[in-house]
Amino acid sequence: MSNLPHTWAIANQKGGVGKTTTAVALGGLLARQGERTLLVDMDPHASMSAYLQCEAGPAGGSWALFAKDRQVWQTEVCQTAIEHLELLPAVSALATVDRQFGSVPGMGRRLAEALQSLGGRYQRVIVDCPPTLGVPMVNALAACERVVSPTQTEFMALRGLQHMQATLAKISHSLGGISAWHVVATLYDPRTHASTVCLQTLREQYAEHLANSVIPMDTQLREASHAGVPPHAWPGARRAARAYDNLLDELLAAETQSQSEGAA
Amino acid sequence: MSVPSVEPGHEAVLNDYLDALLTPESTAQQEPVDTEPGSHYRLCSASGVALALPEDAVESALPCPPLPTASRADTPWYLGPVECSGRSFEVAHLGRLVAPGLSEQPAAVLLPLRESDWALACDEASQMVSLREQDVRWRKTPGSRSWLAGTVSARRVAVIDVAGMLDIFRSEANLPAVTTEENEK
Ligand SMILES: Nc1ncnc2c1ncn2[C@@H]1O[C@H](COP(=O)(O)OP(=O)(O)OP(=O)(O)O)[C@@H](O)[C@H]1O
Ligand SMILES: [Mg+2]
Repeated sequence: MSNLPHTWAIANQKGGVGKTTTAVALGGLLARQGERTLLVDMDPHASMSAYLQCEAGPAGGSWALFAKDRQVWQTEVCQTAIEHLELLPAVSALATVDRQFGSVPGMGRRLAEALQSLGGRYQRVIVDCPPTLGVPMVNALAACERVVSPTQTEFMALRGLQHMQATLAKISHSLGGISAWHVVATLYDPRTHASTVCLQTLREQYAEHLANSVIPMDTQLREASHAGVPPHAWPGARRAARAYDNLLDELLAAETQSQSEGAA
Repeated sequence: MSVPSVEPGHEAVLNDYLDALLTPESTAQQEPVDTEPGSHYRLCSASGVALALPEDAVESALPCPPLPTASRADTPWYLGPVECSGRSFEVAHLGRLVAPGLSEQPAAVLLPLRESDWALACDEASQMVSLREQDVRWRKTPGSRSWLAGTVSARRVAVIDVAGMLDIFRSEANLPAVTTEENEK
């Protein structure tokens, strides 16, 4: 049996929808369950690295995935303050990989290849993507078995989701394979008309992809990120943390189901 | 909500981009390095000029930190000592050295040169090529540009003579042999 880590990419071609928060929340919960988890920051803004207070080393964090020396990125992984949770941080130079490697064949597979070379060091990998399609996002999508798209419950976010769906279709075509796709409603505020209508639209248009768990608007999440603490460990963010806990259960159940279907 | 009209041209460009990125490297024709006998060079570009650096002369490729904007009038290519990856390099702006006066982009990559304190700032340095002796029109008589070893006309690439370039750096940047502090004056 392969000891490849289960890899999930957190991606949406829309900014500010809760991707980084979701990556940290899921990573934090998995680590709490004792799973050796690696978070990979593929966003040149390095929000996840800032959230977990990790800085890239001399080889430039996840930028090193594109270096000639295929192994050097491993020296860039840093232990976060949370047990079992490690992070490959990002640097701004990641914004230049498209200019440098955007036309180099195979550059979209670097993360997948890197994870294959890891052996059983991690059970889980969670990749936080930038909100734009480019070499870093393509690497995340090509490496993962599951794509999780947090989607803010407002209308602009629906457009981002359409773009994401089109991108996923193209990637699966190029790769000749398909990863499972989960849409997760975030920043949900039942008091606003926009939120409720949007959630309804998601339920109608993305029925087979939409997770049952809805992440509520919870301003304490911002406080948790300032403090560098994952949502589950931030007492004020209990509501959102519970929702993320449910989401994780759903994702794990879907994973188990795919495995048993695959084995059957 | 209106569905955006399909733009076949755009779509095709995007499909090609993704197909190329996701082509397994082993089947990609891009890197002739392992298939052709010859010497390995790192292709880089600076101020729009394509250059080939002997691979053994380059230590690594690092993301370029912010570079000083001021430089001396007589050696505009010399940017002074710069901290990167916990080390201090004497940085030369490759574009300004080889093509003074051409328009510049902000440098994205720093290439430390092996066995020296020098690093080259350039726009891009992602590809490797293998060049055979006969591919290069080697310069026979030394001229003013002692950094130039020869040219590959098939690829419109200038091959760099690293020793010659380091000679220029050492003689023109006027660095004291041991300490660089006096240079600040
Ligand atoms: N459920 C939520 N309730 C309230 N605030 C939230 C919630 N989820 C995220 N936020 C806050 O919204 C902001 C954006 O979230 P986050 O950084 O996770 O989004 P993102 O999609 O990663 O953004 P980007 O596209 O810029 O990377 C942050 O300040 C975060 O703390
Ligand atoms: Mg983010």
